[in-house]
Amino acid sequence: MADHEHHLTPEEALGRIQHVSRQVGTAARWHGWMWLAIAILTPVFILGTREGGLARPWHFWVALAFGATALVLTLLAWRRGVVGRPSAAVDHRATWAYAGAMVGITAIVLIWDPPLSWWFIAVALVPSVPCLVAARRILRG
Amino acid sequence: MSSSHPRHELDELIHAPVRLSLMAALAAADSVDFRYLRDLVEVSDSLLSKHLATLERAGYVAMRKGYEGKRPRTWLSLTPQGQRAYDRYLATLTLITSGSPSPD
Repeated sequence: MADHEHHLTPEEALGRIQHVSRQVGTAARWHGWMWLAIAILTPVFILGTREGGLARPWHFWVALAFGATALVLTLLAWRRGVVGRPSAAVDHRATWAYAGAMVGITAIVLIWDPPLSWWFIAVALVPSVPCLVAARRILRG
Repeated sequence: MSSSHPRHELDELIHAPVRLSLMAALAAADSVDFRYLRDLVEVSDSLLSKHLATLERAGYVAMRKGYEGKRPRTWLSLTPQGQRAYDRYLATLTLITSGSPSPD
């Protein structure tokens, strides 16, 4: 009798359910770590490209590293095999909130060109808020 | 042998190794990719398709096809009917393994 045809005892069935649920849960939570990484990297990018005034040599490398990381994370998210329930519920809203905050910060930088100050540090943390909310919901399952 | 034993209430459609793994995987997520399921359950594409078709015919699983670039992708999820059937199955299984007698 082939393995996929053999009869399951109730204990085997429960063990199988627990094993599969654990594996799928771990795969689904990966997306939460991605949101957490974006929450940490975004302020580093925003502040790293403002530090020292305009057009410093390291600004290019900070922007390049952020862009490359964002690209890799987007590709990984696109190719993921499991979409968890919390992720399905929160991803769309978190993405739009994050994009909106980033557009707002870009507008602030282009229009006012503010110096690196405490209020700008606070503003740079705003896009991380939806990311942290999404990460928390997904990682807590 | 009494037919009132809870094991007789186990949904035979779910109570098979591959289909149980599929139902457990789909119950633990919103949607799961075909290739991920294949690797998770360690079966061939054709066998997975066969079991998924059985579950789909029963109304337990919904299939959504899309593309990742030029590559086709298939997403599977439990239907509300599938979720109810799985919940019932799990409740029966828990009843059996806890050793409680059937209330009937």
